[in-house]
Amino acid sequence: MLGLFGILARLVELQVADASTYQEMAREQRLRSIVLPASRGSILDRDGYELAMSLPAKAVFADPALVRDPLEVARAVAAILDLDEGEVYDAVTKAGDRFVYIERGVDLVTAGRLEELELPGIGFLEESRRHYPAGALASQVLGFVGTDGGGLEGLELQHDRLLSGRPGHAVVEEDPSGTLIPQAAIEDVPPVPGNDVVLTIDKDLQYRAQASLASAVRANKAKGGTLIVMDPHTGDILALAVYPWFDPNEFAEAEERLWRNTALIDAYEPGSVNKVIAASAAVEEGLVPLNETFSVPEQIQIYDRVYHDDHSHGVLQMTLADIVTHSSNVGAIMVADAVGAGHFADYLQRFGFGARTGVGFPGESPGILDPVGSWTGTTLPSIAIGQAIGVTSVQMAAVYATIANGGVWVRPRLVRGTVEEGGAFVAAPPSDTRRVVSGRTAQAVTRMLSFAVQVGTGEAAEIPGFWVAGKTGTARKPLPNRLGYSEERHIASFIGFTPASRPALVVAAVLDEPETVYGGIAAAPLFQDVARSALALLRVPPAAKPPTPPHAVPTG
Amino acid sequence: MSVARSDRRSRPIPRGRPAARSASHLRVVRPRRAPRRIPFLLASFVLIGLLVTGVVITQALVSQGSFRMRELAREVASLQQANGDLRREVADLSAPERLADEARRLDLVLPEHVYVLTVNERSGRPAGSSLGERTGGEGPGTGAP
Repeated sequence: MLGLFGILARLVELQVADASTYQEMAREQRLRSIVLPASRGSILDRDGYELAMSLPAKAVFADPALVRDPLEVARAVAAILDLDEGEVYDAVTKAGDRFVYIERGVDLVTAGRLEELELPGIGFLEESRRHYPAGALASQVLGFVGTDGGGLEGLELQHDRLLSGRPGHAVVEEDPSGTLIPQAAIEDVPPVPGNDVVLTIDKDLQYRAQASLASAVRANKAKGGTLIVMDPHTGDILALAVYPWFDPNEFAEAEERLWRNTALIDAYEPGSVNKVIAASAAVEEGLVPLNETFSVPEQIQIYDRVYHDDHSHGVLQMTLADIVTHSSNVGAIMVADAVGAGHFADYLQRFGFGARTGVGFPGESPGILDPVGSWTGTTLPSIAIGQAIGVTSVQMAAVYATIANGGVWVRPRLVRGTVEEGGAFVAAPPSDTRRVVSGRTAQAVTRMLSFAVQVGTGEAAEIPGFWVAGKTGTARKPLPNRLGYSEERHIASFIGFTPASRPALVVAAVLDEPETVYGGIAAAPLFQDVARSALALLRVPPAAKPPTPPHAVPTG
Repeated sequence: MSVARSDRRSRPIPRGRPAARSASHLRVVRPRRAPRRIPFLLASFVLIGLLVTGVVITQALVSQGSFRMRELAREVASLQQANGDLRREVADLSAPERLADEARRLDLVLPEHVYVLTVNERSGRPAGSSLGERTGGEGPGTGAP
């Protein structure tokens, strides 16, 4: 009788008092929560070619506490995953850990072969791996993702949230052998896949740009270079090449400095390509009539600095067009002086200097433009010839795009739109614009820039039949550890647009430390090569030659 | 039992009357039949059998469903893999560098001259055989990405 009471008491304890505890324990035993990873969206070029794509994959992990025969497991896993047997052995025998990754991003077929072995202590997790089919194409633009699938650099980082989507989860019931009980799914929140991002980049033009840039860097024995092709009307960057580059499929093996998109991240002193600002400001403000001549000496002293032209000459009578065409430093300084520091600083800002372009790229530099209040007596003349100011290649390309676009600055952009889950393309809003100079001023400056290519320093950039408007730049690099400029290290550039009378594209070619320092010799042929390819690829028809601007210096 | 019941129904015998007279009221009551157990048992067995069979069938269906689900999950994974492989193959084959290499292997070159024809809007015919200037570039540069 006593025993019966004892049993009854225990029953009451189990079924009533502790019932909820045991229910919870049973629930935990048979319920399993599964994270359903969202597939990362692709990055497409403007025509829909996949520049970055995610492929389904599995992560292989070990629970060392459950591994019975570590040697055998290590041998089997290493053989299938092509890993070092010793390293796998270390992983599966790691004391104190219940979860050790053995390999990530394993393709499903290989993972399936391993799963079939049903090795105790070896588990699998669903994930995806990133693949860049075109290798190093636009690598500094695309960036890359880490092993956990998150963006680490470039557009992969900038648009990480958009590309990642939202992971889902499911709570399922399983029997003691781990088999899912089909009707017993308790919760099922499906993942939301990431959107695709469509770039403004044209893969064929990007390839040609990279190929031409690499050839130019090698031919000029330069340290590196950047090249930008841009639509001046929309701000679309059609190609953005930075040399040397890296393969994002194997980013860990590349030097970190190669990851940098120097066209957007690094500021440099632009040199003579900056003379277009003083010229535009002077024309816009009506301070320098186009047929007025300046008496331009070979050199000029301002405070403690002597500025001189690149070649020896006596006092020359030069119009504004002559100053631009022959890239006279002294002439540009005289023009900037006529404009005045206040107006000049205002134009520099309106052309986009000292502020990020708004392209949104991670780490984009605003450049360096000191506030006009802190300018010294030599700041104005220095900036007039492209010194004492820091700009990015994209900022500089946007300046020439402004002239090409009739005086309206257009924010450069790298993203055309997105493709949502259902496949619908959602166009990005058009780029912001602002008028910097009038259409008449832009036309006048275009004539000067075209003349500079026809008879001036940029002859090597000319494309007969289309006509190029552009400017060369040769800038000495600042000394790394002290004030002053290097005599040996230069940045050579050519920035321009074509066709000059009906601009379709802007090309900025910049070479870092070329053996031949002059922009007209080192960078202008690179401009021509890429501009020709772009004109053919984009099927741009030829256009009329722009009228010659008033000039006083006899031509060739 | 039935006798007892009939006793309860019978009236009390009046005193002084002969017993023979009351005997004429007696009658034989046929014993009631015992209830039939066999059909009940049979029905129970059939019901239990049906229930057991139902449970077994349900279990089998559940297991079958589970196997089918695993099979389908494997098939989905395999199709996803195939889809991924095909997408990758298309992208790899369309990569500009591969196309350029293939073009070089086939000795293809870019045209030396590119001519632009301007179509006469009225006649719809080209106005002149060639109007264009040379626009073509060289072949793809070496050291391509």
